[in-house]
Amino acid sequence: MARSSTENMITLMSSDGEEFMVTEKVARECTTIRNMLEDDCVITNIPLPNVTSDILSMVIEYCMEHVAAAEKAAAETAEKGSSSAPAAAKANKDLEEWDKAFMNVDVYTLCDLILAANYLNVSGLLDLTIQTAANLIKGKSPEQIRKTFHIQNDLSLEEEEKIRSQTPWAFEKSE
Amino acid sequence: MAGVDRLSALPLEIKTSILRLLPIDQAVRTSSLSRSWRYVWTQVTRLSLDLSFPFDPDMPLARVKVLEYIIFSLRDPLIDLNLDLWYFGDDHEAPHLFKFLHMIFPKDGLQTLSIYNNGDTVQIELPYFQSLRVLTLSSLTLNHLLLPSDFQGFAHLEDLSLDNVWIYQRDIDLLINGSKNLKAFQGHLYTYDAEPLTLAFSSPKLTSIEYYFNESTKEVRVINAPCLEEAQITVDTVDSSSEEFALIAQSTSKFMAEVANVSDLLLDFATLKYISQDSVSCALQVQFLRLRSLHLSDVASYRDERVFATFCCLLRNMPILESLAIKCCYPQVMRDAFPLDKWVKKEDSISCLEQSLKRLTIFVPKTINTSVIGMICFIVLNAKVLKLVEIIYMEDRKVEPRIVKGLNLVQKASSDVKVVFSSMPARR
Repeated sequence: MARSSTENMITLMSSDGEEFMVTEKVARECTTIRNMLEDDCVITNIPLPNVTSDILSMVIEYCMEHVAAAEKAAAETAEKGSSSAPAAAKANKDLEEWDKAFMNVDVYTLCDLILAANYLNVSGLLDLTIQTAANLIKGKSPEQIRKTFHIQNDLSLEEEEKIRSQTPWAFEKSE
Repeated sequence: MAGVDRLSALPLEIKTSILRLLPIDQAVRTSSLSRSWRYVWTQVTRLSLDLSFPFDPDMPLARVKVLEYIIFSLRDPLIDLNLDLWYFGDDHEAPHLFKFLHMIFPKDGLQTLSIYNNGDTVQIELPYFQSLRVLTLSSLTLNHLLLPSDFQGFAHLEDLSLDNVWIYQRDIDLLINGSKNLKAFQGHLYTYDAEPLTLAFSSPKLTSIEYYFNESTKEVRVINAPCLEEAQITVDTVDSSSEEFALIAQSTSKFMAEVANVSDLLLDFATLKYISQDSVSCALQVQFLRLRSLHLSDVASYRDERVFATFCCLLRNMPILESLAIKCCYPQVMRDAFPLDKWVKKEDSISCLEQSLKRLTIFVPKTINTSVIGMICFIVLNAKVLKLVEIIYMEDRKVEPRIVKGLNLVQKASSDVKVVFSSMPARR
């Protein structure tokens, strides 16, 4: 739990000009920012022109939660000399639950989060969001997928029929 | 914002990483979403092919044709291929697997190939994939592995796992000694050759060997593997009066000596029956002078006293052992016939118990059998510097009162020991 009082604070600025103060540790969850800090350690203000304030605040929320969980686990290990499996298992489960609740967003937000996680290189968040997107596609017919993600079908009936007839095995379960 | 298609606007590499998480038929299905999705799936480079998708049983080679279609459609060389054959391999389909692998070959960039087969025997003729780093073949039945005639080893292979594989002596030699970057080897092998196999490792980077001993293996030798840290030994259980038993006992005992310098050792409990041979006194001549961690798996109740003698003998030959993990298997009916007092007696001068053993971990599937309780008591009563006993239930379950009672007694005897109970997170 050795959080030093002199911990560096970093200001992240969203594309719409909003500023977010976070600890360096939280900022370092983003590999892109970590690399910037390692290249130039005096940097304290980082503009992120690709991320809007509502998405940035979500990314920060995710990073803070995961940093806090890791710190808690480390503190417990230090205290007991070893990690106790039930506590660790429960903490993992809690974090999984948290992730699941965190992914309860509309598809626009989900896609924006994917882009932000990709740009900021937050691997845990990228895996989580991509898996969520895959789950939204899984088991659906093409029409259901289009509806879920608002995809415009610009194929003619003939073209669509041709695609289906090339790979009939890909469509059997969906109808 | 309603009606805006954000998914299609994502960069291609993100769309392919989403599709990679879908079963192949569902990934291909996205080709009919819209014009821009037409060829997205053909640009994946990491592919998990589970061949359980529906196919027309009246159409011969339906799945082979699907495989061919997929491979021919891919735009870039595959990097990872994970193939679940799913009852592939009846008489019509099986010979074509070979063709399929050779179709990937011209676009060689493959780094990971894993094939799982839960159907009939197939013959896997592997082309020379130059970039291959990980090769995993596993199955419930046996697969035949054949290598190209001019094969000299995979130059970049780091991780080789052959589970239930028929192989020629020549091919296993080339695989383990021609692949100079091999770090981890796992083998459970059978052979067509008249003689059982001899494996001889001269692998400068090898860190771990996991081997399943059966009557098809004569010897596993470690000639030169300076980085070897971990060995895992599993044995085929056969009747102790049979010829196979003698062969396995011999190859297992020899192998123990070959891996005497490792720091981690994982032993199948049945191995103790093989190395204990025919006397109650210790038959194991090997000293594990660097061993810090011993993991005994599938510990069952044995009436056989030799097992206890061998267990003590193992501990005697491991002077700096720090951590002992015992994983129980499901209890058998005979569990109460075991003479518990044999385990609980005090043993003198086992130096790891006197000086180094700090941690004991017990994995319990459902309930502890008596020989394991005996082992715990034996360790706790005799280990002078033990700090932690961790009992982990692999299924969520309440701790049995008889264990708590037993351990309370133990704790009274040695107040420094901390006992922790826990259960593994329930996972499917």
